[in-house]
Parts: sequence; structure tokens; C-alpha cells
Amino acid sequence: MTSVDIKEKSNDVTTGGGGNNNLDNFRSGGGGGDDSNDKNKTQPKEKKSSPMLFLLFAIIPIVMFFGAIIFVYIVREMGKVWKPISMPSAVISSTLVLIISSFTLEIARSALKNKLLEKFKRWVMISTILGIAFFTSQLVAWKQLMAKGVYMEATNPHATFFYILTGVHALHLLGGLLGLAYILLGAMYYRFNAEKRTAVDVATGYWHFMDILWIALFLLLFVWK
Amino acid sequence: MRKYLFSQDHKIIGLQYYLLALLAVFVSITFSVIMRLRLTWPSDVWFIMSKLLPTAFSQTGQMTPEFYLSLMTMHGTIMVFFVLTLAPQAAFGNYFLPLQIGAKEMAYPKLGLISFWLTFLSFCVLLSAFFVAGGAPLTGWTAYPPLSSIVSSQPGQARGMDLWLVSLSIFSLATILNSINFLITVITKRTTGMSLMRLPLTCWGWLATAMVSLLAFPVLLAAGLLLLFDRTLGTAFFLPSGLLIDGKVISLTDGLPLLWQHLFWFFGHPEVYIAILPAMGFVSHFLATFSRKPVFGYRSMVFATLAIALLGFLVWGHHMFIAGISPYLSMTFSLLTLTIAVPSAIKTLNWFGTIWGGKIQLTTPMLYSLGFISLFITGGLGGIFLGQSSLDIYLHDTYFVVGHFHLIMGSSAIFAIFAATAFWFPQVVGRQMNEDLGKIHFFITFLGVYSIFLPMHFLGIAGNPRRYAEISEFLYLNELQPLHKFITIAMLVTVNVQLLFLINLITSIFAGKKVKENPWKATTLEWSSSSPPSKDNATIVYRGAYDFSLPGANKDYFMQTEDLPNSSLDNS
Repeated sequence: MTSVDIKEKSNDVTTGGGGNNNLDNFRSGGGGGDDSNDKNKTQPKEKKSSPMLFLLFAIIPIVMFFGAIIFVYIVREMGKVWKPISMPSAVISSTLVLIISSFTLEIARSALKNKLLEKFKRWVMISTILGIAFFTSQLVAWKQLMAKGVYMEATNPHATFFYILTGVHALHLLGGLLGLAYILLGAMYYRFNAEKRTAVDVATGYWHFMDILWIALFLLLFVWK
Repeated sequence: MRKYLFSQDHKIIGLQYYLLALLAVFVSITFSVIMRLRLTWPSDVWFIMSKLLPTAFSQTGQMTPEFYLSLMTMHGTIMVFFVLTLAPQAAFGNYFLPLQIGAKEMAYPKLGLISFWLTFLSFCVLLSAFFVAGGAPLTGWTAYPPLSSIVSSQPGQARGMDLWLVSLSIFSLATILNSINFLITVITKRTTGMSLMRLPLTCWGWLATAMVSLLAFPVLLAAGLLLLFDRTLGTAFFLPSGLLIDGKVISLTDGLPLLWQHLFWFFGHPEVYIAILPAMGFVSHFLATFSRKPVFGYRSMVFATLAIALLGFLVWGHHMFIAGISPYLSMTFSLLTLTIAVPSAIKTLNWFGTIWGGKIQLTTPMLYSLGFISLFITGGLGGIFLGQSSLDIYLHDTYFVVGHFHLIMGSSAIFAIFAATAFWFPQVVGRQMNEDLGKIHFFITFLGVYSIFLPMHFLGIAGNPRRYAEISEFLYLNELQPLHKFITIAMLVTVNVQLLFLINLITSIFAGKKVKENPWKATTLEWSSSSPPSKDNATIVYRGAYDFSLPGANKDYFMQTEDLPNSSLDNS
């Protein structure tokens, strides 16, 4: 595609070896006055890319994204045509299911920490099922609203926001569910253990974040005035 | 295919971004040429183009004003997103950030690959808007509702506007992913000894820009989706009550068009800094290298960069002074806007401090960098006028604003891109770009840019509104026509000189002067012999990024990898 002559290409994707030392404290000049020509005296030290950091930097834009929509919500709520919709009963059950799933996932994680692999497997499975139950419950909530004739329409902004906020939250939660599915698969084949559980930590963290986000949206939609 | 097209190598991804930006800039410049020709000679007949795009031209072959607005929209969108956002950050950043911090690769190579191809997809979607029924949207790159939210308002507001929104949503997603990659790379991938205060200022620019992008683009994504829902799903976030559309009054929607402006500019103003912060980093870096002096006030440069990044989020209202916001709000935004002059002035004075008394080498990267400073100051002075809400009410919808942002955001960032291209070309290709051609290109472009955009300030003061496809209908503007002609001619010359840059770029790949490593005698890691770092030989950094002309040293500069027996010279 390009004829540019690149000095050296390195296509191998290595995840960087070496320890995780705090290298910022490295200072020169201390001690033995070594010559600068003395090469190879230290091993390659590249810090591992941290998945937890990735989670943090993924949460920030998601917060901004929802923050923007919530800002619009709050401003629109002061408008003249705002008619609060009554809460579909399924929303309560989905909220409870999601909160419980966070706890079950935490049980699974501590089981993994304590090397109880079978327990871990069981509780991840329960959490995943609860996650799917949440989706189903949200769909039921949509159906309940539609049965009452409440659609996504211009004349009722509250209904519009209900559909949009639950919709984009579900889309984001879908990512979390994929994460859970990945962990469940790993748990089936015993790919995780007490030391090797970064993926579990990240997926759990994301799931908790989605849980908190849903609670915030729930409070905004049906409690906050 | 794996090696070049879908590579995970940060260098290939950087080059791909650069080529995409290069393609985008020439497409976009072509649009502006057509616009200027239409504006200056409105009654001219377009023989060939009217055959190709019959809907955009009248029966007699003149271009319709709607097509002019479509071109304007696309020119703005492509320039802001696909040139100014991509070239300094994604292109140079992907290529040189790992090299400058001594990393083998970005933290998430796959993420880089995904970001690029998403960006490419979004570019294709954007251009496809020209070819759907009704053509491209004509709201300008700001897409203000209600014009943008009503499908039937104009031909281009149908599918073209939808494609525009889809394109920008994909672009936002790609930029967010890319920014995450940048941030994690800087945090985790720095080599031994590369503390934050030893980072080259280029890396600080990329880092700050990644932070800004991470916070700003999600808001654009959210706003864009809401607008898309307004258009496709029948919601009314931005659609006010009482509009007359197709002979029907729409009622009970109660949407707020101003909300879009708030959301858009909450993203849109930081976007300006997304374009300029890496450019500032480049210029600081090059000025030090070609003055053979350390950057004056390195720490204050870092803090000014972060201050600008932060303040950029607090001033969006100054784009809305004439939108009917509360005068108190206007005053607050006005004051905050003028506050940005402080870190900007710190930077500018530090640049002067850097070159003051230096052994200045007027190479092309240096000339472009000096050009950047000149354009940045001139453009910034216009900003002081516009930042005051009372003056802005008169000037806002005039050519004054056009001249202002083209100088400070457009031209100066482009000059920094030129500088970066000439500076890093030897690192990429092993050859140098032609200095003579580069200097000719610099001087003509420099004069050209001033000839185009400085007179626009006068047009604005004389009351010439923006976005008009022709001014011959207005008596009070008739006497401005000669100035418009001058601008158009200056523009044609300047645009054609850009071909010189392109020729220089292409021929230098094959026939440029071969150079040894580190031809500019720079200090940073990408020029060291062990760059990129091999598996068994890690780069170790012993010093800050700008150790030029240290007192008592026996040579002009020290690479960051050079250890000194005399540690008292270590200025970190």
C-alpha cells in the first residue's frame, strides 16, 4: 500500500516481559560512576499494559456519554410538555436482578481468589443467567409500556428518554454480558485461577459500573423530580 | 495484506492515518477552491461539473447556492475531523509516541488497527453523502437544529444529513478508542528512566489531547445520536414547538435547539485544542532543536498545556453569544475565554525564550515552526476581539470569524503538520526532504495564508456575512467584491503551491538526500541508534528531552540515552 521504506518493521506482538517495578524512581548518577558505553547492563523493562487501566479509561467516556444525555433529560424535564409516565412494574424486577447479579459475581470472584474453582464456576453461571434475566425484564418493561400505548414519540419526552436510556444502557451492558460469557467459558475449562484472574477482575468491575449506572438511571427516571 | 493494510504495527498505522489525512486535505481544499470560484464569479458556467452533478447546477450551468453550502459543510467537516484531528494526533502520535518514550509498540496494537479502519469507514460514509438523493447536508460543520433536525427542510437535509451523523458517530468511537490507547501507552509503556518530566513536549501534547478527546468525543457521540433519533425515530430533543413545516405547524414538541449548541460546543471547543495542542508540542520541540537550546520553562510549558486542556472545557459558550443565552452567562464565558490567553501567552513567551540567543538554524521545519508562531499570535489577537461578547454580537456571523479560525486553528496547525513532516521525514524514510523546495513552499504559503485570511477580518468588520454563496445581490457589499477577488487569486496561488509540497514529499522518498541517523542532532529517543528498541536491548533514559548547549559540556547536545559521568549536569 505504501512504498515508504521503513527502517525496521517489527510486527511481532509481544506483551512485554519483565517485572512491574516502579521505574519512575530510576535515577542516574548514583553510585558507581559507570561508563555510558556499558550496555546491556539492565534487562528490558517494559511495564505490562494494564487491563484495569483500560477499564478506567473506558468508564470515563461512558460517563461523559450518559452525562450528556442526562443533561438533556434534566433540561427537558423543565419543559412544558413533560408528562411523567408511570413506572412499568418490570423495571423493579430488573433493578433487583441486576443488583443481585453484582453480588453473585462478587461471590464468584472471592471464590476464585480462595481457589474454589467449582464454586467460582457455579456463581459465574448464576450471574450470567441473572444478566440475561435483566435483559428479558427490560424487554418486558418495554412491552408493558407499549401495551399502554406509550411509544417513543415527540409529544412525551419522558417516554422517549425511558426508551433511549434503557436502550443505550442495554447496549453497554451487552458488552458486560459478553465479558461474563467469556469468563463463564474460561471457568468451564478452568482457565482462571487465583493468580490469573485479570479478565475476571475487569469484567466484574465493568459489571459493577453498569449496575451503578443503571441505579443512577433508575433514580433519574422514576424517583428524581 | 497483513503487513501493510491490516497491520498492527504502530508505524504502519501512523502512516495510514497520515495518508488518509493527506487525501482528506486535498479533497477538502478542492471543495474550497470550487466555493471561492462560485463566490467570486457567481454567474460563471461550469461545463464539466454540471454534467457530472446535474442536480447541483441550474439549467444554464451555474452552481446552486445549496451546492455551495454542501461544499462548505463538507470542507469544514473534513478539515476539522479528518485533517486537524487525525494528522497531528493519530498520524504522528501513533508513529512517534512509542518511539519517543522508548516503547516497542502501543499498549493495544489491535486497538490502533480498529481505530484506523473505523476512521476510514467514517470518511467513506461522509463522502458518500454527496451521492445520495438530495446530496450532502448544508448546515455547516456545526449542524445546528432545527435546520439539521428536519428532514424535509432542504434537499441535502435528507439522507445526506443522516450519513453525516453516522459518519461522525463512527469517527467519535474511533477517536475514543485511539485516545484510550494513547493514554495507557504513556502511562505504562515508558522506558526505564523516562519520567513524566523527561517526556518530550510532543508527548505531552499527545497526552493532553488524548485526555481532551476522551472527555469531549463521547458528548459529540451522544448529541449526534439524539439528533439522529430526532430525524429518524420521531423524537424531538432539539425540535422546538410552533415550527411551520410543509404547511403544517408542529406543536407539543417543546425541544430546545439551544441544547444542541451547548452539547456540540462542549465538544466543539475542546476540539479546537485537540487540533492545536499536539501542534504546540511539535513547535516547542522543533524550536529547541533548531535553536540548540533547552525549551525555555519546560515545566511551565507542561502546566500551560494542561491548563489549556482544562480551560478548553469551560469556554464553549463563547460560540453561542448570539444564540440568545443569558447576558450573565455570556459575561462568564467571556471572562473564562479571555483567561485562556494566559496559558497561551505563557507558551508564546516560552517559545520566544527558547529561540532567544539561540544558534538558530533556519531549516524548513524551523521555518514552519516560526510560521506557526506568527499565525498563532495573529489568529489569537483576533480571538481577543471575538472573546468579548459585546464585540462578538457584531462580528460573529461575519468573515471576521472565518478569518480568525482559519488562521489560528487551520493554518497554524497545518504549519505544524508541515514542520513535523519535514522534521521526521528522515526518521521514516532515511532521506531528507528537499530543503530548497521546502523553503519556497514555506514562503509562498506563509504569505499566501496571510493574504487569504487577513483580508477576511476586514470583510467581517465591513459586515460581510459568512456562508453567503454570493454577495452581488447586496448593494452594501458590492464594494467588497475586489477584496474577494484578491482573496480568491491569493488562494489559487497558495493552493497550487501545495502541489510543490506534495511533489517534494513524493520525490524525496526516492530521490531525497540520504542522511545518517539523527540528521538534526536531536536529543529524543526516536533518533537514537537503538530505536525502535530491540527485544534484548532496552533503551534507558538518563536525562530530560532538551539538553542542548549545556554549560560546561564538551558538545552541543546530549541524547536522552546518554549518561554523563558528571551527574551535576543532569537537569532533570
